[in-house]
Amino acid sequence: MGIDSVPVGSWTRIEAIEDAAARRELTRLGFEEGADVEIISRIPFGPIVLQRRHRQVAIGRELARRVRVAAL
Amino acid sequence: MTGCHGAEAGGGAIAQQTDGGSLQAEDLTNRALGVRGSQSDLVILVGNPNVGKSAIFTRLSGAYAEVSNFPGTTVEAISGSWRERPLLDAPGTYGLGDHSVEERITTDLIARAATVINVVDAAHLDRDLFLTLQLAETGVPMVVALNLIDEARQAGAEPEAAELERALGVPVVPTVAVTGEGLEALAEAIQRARPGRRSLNDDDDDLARRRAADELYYRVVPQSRRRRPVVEWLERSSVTLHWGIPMLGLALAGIYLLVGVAVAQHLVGFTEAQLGQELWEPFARSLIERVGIGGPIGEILAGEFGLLTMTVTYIVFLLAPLVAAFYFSLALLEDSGFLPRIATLVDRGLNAIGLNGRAVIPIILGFGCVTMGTITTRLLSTKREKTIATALLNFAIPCSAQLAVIAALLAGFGGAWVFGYAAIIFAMLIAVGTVLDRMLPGKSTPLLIELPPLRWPRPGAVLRKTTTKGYWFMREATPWFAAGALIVAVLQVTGGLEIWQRLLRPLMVSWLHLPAEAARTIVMGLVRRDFGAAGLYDMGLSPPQALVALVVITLFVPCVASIMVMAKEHGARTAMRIWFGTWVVAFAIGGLLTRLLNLMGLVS
Repeated sequence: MGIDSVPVGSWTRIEAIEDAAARRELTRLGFEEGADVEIISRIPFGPIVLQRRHRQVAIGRELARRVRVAAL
Repeated sequence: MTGCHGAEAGGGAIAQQTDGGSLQAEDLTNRALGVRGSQSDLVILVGNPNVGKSAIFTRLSGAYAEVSNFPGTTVEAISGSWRERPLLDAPGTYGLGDHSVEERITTDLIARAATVINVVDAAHLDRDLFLTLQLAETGVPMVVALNLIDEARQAGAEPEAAELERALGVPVVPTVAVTGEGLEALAEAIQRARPGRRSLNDDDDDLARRRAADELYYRVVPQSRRRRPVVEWLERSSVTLHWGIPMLGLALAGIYLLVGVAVAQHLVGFTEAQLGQELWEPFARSLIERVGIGGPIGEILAGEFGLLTMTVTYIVFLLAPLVAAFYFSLALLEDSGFLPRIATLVDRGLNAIGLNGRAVIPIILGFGCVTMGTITTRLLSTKREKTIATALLNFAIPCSAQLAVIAALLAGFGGAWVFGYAAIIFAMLIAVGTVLDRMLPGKSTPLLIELPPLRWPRPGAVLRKTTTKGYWFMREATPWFAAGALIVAVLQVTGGLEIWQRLLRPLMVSWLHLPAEAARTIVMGLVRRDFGAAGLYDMGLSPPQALVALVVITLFVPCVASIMVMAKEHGARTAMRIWFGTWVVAFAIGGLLTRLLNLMGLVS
């Protein structure tokens, strides 16, 4: 499933990032495939905010759908 | 789960960067090198966005480079010199390659550099070491500036510089750029720069490099980070809807109270009337009389629209305090790290007009100066987004000086008028954005933005930014103001103003229900919109008249400087089309608004 369906406050592992440019950028930022991240916000119809090791990154909703995580 | 195989399908979305980036990079390097000597001794600062490269650049070269707490402040390489060697501040980038303009510029610069100073954020090494390892792979002699070491210390997670030095095989120097700590040691270390140790064999394996960076991070940084409950709560809650929106509202209310109420009404009321009109202007007039200049020249210098009277009052006693207050507010927003969080909050809204949240940064900066905002649209990733943002900025965003006059004029009539004005301009933004989103092919690119840590803005940095930007703005604006005043004064002396007012009378009086003299603000507005707005300040307009006049002047032609920037970035044809378009839009909306206010029973 996409990371956009993970509930706020829970942790998940990024399995695949199905967008080459986003995969490159997120890998550099430390949110690579295989990383465990915490979902800290999900703005209605808007971006998902992830946190790992005290750093945060916001991902637009449509792109978040292409960041795949293992089903809960 | 489609896995990695489906990856390339959607890959183009963010990768659609502007073209011509490498050309720009070459231009920049050549310009920097051509003037400042051979490329054999070029020193460049390379690092992730928002780690203090610009602050180190300022310390080393003595030239001011802008520093903010959001990624992408430096959109172009900035050149200076250090001990007679050319020094370049490269745009911030998370990695090397050819995937974005910043990356291309930086990669090209590294190929020509003698020494690289890799600036890293000591408090966020896990991210930064990715680029450090990539730099080591290039084989260029380098040193690492372990910047923001004070933050890392406070957090109880100070990296072991000696261990990092051993692992990388290059000098590592802890620094605090904003206070100057460690800068001498850094200067000394630059002499000892050497190529770093390669940790990878395959250049192209980002994932392996990421893992190597993480491994190094855990080796050099003690995992004893202190908890900071308040800051952590703020960092998390400011990007949620139910906390973030009230915080944004609070920030805007604060800015309004400072700029719109404290400065625009109380301070400017004093400086404009007491210092300007009662003290300075009589003094200037008597001075001109005493020197014996009379007639038309005297009128141009010290008359109603005189260069020494009206122009000085507007610039020094009306605009300067307002502009300073505005830049002060913007500096707080920029340095606290709140801007990218606003970008996250408004992303969904901006998607509706073909932009993503990132575009809020040039738009907010446009409220400082539209010309600067137009230049900052470079941090948007596609040409489409740049075009939409540029149009919004030039059609409907009032700059600080203009906004300040607007606040001063309308706030006196009560909050409802300010709100009405804001609502009309906001509706215009949506309308222009929607039309362009429909007209231009393509769609908005998805948001992907790093959120910087929230920091208390440092008073010294805020002050420096306020004065530097305020000074820059006034220096930019003053000649245009003087030119505008000169045109109006000459028109008045020659009787041209009469003719102009009679010519525009149908438009001004019958269509907009404004006094005929308001036509002269249009002349001034042709040169600069804020100057036009300033002209309305003491015209004694009724509230509905002031609203109409301000809406017209806001939507009216962009400043000459903005038009020139637009012509440069989008071609002269587009610029002229926007210029003429604003005439039509401004007067059409103004007339409709007048009719609407009449219908509502607000006599104008």
